Amino acid sequence: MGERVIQGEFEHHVLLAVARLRDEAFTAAVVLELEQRTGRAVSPSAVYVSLRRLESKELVRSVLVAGSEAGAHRERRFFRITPGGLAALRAARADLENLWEGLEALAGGDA
Amino acid sequence: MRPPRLARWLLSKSLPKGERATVLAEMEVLFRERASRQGRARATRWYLRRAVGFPVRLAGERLRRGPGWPGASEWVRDLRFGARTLARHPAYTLVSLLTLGVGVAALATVYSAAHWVLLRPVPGVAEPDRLATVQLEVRAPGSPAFPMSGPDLETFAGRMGAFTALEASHPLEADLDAGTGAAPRRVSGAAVTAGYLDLLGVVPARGRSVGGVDDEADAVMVGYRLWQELWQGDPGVVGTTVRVNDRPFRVVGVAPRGFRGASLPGSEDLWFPASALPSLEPGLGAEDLTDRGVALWSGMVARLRPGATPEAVRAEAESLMQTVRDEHPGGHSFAADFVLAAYPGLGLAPRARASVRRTLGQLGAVAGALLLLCLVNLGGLAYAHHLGRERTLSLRRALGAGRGRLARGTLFEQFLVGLLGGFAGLTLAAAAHAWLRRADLSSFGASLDAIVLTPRVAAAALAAAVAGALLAGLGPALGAARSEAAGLQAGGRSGGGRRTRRLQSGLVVVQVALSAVLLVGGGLMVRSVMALGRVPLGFDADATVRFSIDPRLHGYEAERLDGLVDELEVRLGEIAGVVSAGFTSPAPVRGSYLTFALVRPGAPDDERAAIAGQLQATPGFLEASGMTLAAGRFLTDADAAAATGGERPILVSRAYAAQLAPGAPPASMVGQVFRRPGGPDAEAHRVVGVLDDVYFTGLRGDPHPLVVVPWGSGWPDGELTGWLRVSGDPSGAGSAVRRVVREVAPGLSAYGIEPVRRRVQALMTEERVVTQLTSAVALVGLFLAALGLHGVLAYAVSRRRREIGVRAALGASPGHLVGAMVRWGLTLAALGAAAGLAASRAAVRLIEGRLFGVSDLDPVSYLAVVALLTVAALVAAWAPARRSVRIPAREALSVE
Repeated sequence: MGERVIQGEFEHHVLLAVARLRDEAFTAAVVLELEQRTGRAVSPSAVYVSLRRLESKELVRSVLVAGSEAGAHRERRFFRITPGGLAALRAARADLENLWEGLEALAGGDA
Repeated sequence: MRPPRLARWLLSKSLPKGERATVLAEMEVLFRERASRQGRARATRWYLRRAVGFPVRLAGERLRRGPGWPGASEWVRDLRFGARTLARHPAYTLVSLLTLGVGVAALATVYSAAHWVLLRPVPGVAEPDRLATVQLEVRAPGSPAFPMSGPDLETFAGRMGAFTALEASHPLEADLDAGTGAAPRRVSGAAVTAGYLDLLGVVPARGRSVGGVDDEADAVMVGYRLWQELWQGDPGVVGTTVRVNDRPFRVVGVAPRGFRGASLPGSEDLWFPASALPSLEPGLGAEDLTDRGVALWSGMVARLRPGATPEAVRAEAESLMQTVRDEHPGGHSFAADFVLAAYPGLGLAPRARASVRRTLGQLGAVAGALLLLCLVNLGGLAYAHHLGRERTLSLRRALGAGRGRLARGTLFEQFLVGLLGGFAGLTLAAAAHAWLRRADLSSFGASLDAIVLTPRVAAAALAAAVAGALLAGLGPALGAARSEAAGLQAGGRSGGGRRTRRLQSGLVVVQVALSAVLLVGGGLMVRSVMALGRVPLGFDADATVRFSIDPRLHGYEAERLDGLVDELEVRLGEIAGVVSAGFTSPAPVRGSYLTFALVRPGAPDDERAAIAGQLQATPGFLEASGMTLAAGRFLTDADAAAATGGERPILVSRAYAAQLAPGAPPASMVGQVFRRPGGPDAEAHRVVGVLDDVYFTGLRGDPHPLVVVPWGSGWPDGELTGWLRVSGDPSGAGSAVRRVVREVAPGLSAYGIEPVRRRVQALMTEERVVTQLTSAVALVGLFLAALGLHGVLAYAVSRRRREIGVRAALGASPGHLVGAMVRWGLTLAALGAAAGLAASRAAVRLIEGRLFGVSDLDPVSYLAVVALLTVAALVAAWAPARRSVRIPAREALSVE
């Protein structure tokens, strides 16, 4: 169920961004976080679709929060990573480390 | 700072309701963040891009995920509902699909033919749109291409700034003996200048091409199709020796698949270097290749310098021609009124392009009229269908469905009709393509023998079908959006009553009018073809067979040629079933004659000679052809001896006799002597007989003046035509003819063997095909119009049940009720017919040039159209009229 069901690099990045943002992960925030971390423009619609895919795979869950105090924003949907999502991230990282083993020279520094 | 309003609105429309507010708010956050970093202008551009990209991505995700995706469930449900509605009304659905399918098929077929004939790139040629067809021609529309000499060609190639390259070909016919055991066959080919094939970008499939500067005179490149047929694709063909016109040639390469020359339709299968010409063209010597006065090169192709226009080419060429005339007075290959014209692109010969475009334009107009009729019909059907579902729509409104949802549902239905109707149309179009491939359209100047329904045409047809269906559904969609729950209480009969009837009646009148236009066109074409078929040919086309041989390619001339002809006549006469045999040159029923001029006795010096076409014929030909005498006698073998001295005996046709001696009866021409132009010592000819007029070259216009001279009047320098009169089925003589020719002259091929009737019919192919298409379309249009009329009347009966029931209860007779319905139907048909017949006056101008023996106001055609429409209206009105009589008064009155 939760493990090894991340599909594609972008989904992986979105899940990582949700994990980083903890309680503040809504679509716009994820977009900004990814742009800041990767230095590349990110499509909000791609993030929107990825979050809903991750939710359907139960790697994240969402909650719709009504307009905040002092009206700083209208209702927002906040996303949070699930234990299954965390397990999937760990599994993906382990796969990557296994594949990199022995290729430290390509990394251009210490492994 | 807020995002641009229009983009925001667009974005909001693409989002599911439940997500709309959230996503818009977040997009606003991102917009502000970008504006603060990059400025408002860039942020606005970013937002606009996202506003377009968001719906596209969501739509893709919806398709991927299907039901369960927010918003997807609504669309899918509507689509399913539309499909179920169509399934519950099979009659309406089937008629709609057929209606749309027919119109789409017609348009797709015409578009496909136009693309194939006019726009298809020449196969085997690289970048044909960067090349131009160059022609030496006279200043008249439809001028043929005249050849240019080798030295003149080099001059133009080297000194025309508008050309970066100019090459040419010399088309020729040859007898090929492949040495594979197959009988020698007639093949079309071309000798080419050194860089011709390179200019075309032709890459051989095997070996090398021909035409290089030092190319050997016995090299030949064979066509791919010929290679497959004669050598079964054996790669070992390169290096083998074949015999062309009994001379050995070495195969050096195979052309790429599909390449058959630089023009369409291509027919070349052999290519030779220029140095081979003297061995391929009798009477041509090596010195003629460099003689500025010997014109050999007609198939010219050029690469134009970027920016060079046809007008610039013409102007520069005129100046260069004058320079050449000054530099080589009397020694060049173009007359004073010649021009050099460049036609961008390769494909159809320039002469053929205008007439083919005209024909395709006419067919396109017919197909367009049919599609319009179909769409009008579809609109009427959709509207009637919508009116029949008013109650359902009112119910859905009452249950909370939004107006947009109801309109969307109707459009989804129409989308499905469009999609399925489009596929139905493509199926019909595929069948039409199969028919086109089999039809002999060579007289069009184009060939459709390999036409296929391309993905591009299919996609365009499908898009047109969907667009047409959606257009036809706009009215019903608007009507659906205007549905009110209150309609339920009114019993769902809020269809607008009189306004609806008027709209539907109007649609029917338009359909009948369009149908009338098509019927008038079809009727006139049919009468025209019938008139063509009644033209007396002047010769027997039913019990005769023709074939061609070209002995001069094999070195036959003078007495040797006479001996060949004599022996062939005897041997052909011995074939079982052959009654008589003869030869003539050039070939009749083909359209090209040598000219023959005579002057009237005592005519003033400045009077122009009377010109006729000339046939040189054996007595056997005159007997075999079935030509008849108006006076005098046929030519005999004795006349052949007198053919070259003294008063040479000739036959003249009535048309020529009328020119030579206007008003004189044919009998008075017999024995008269006429001279050629050139004074009292010019050749004299005695008329021994007058022939009834013959239509050899075409069935239109006045009969061509003709002179028949005895065999031996001068050695024919072209191919000979053999004619056989047979006592049985003419189509079975082919193999016997080939056998006899092969036995008498091995290496000589007999080709073009066919019953003469087939050749005559080919003269009328274009007329017949256009007539068949127009008539078929007209009949389909009539059927659709009748269907539309039937629909209106049936709807009226169902709407007026109460009124009809009241009338019946009050004593109206069945005849009265039926009469009322029929009168209404006839009134609509009459209005449509009147409008259509008036409009057809303009439409007939499109086909005026095609009409023969019938005026464009032909009363028979117009009366026939009126009669057909009347019958169609009666048939369409009958069923609803009968139904109106069968409504029981009690039931009708109790409906409410």
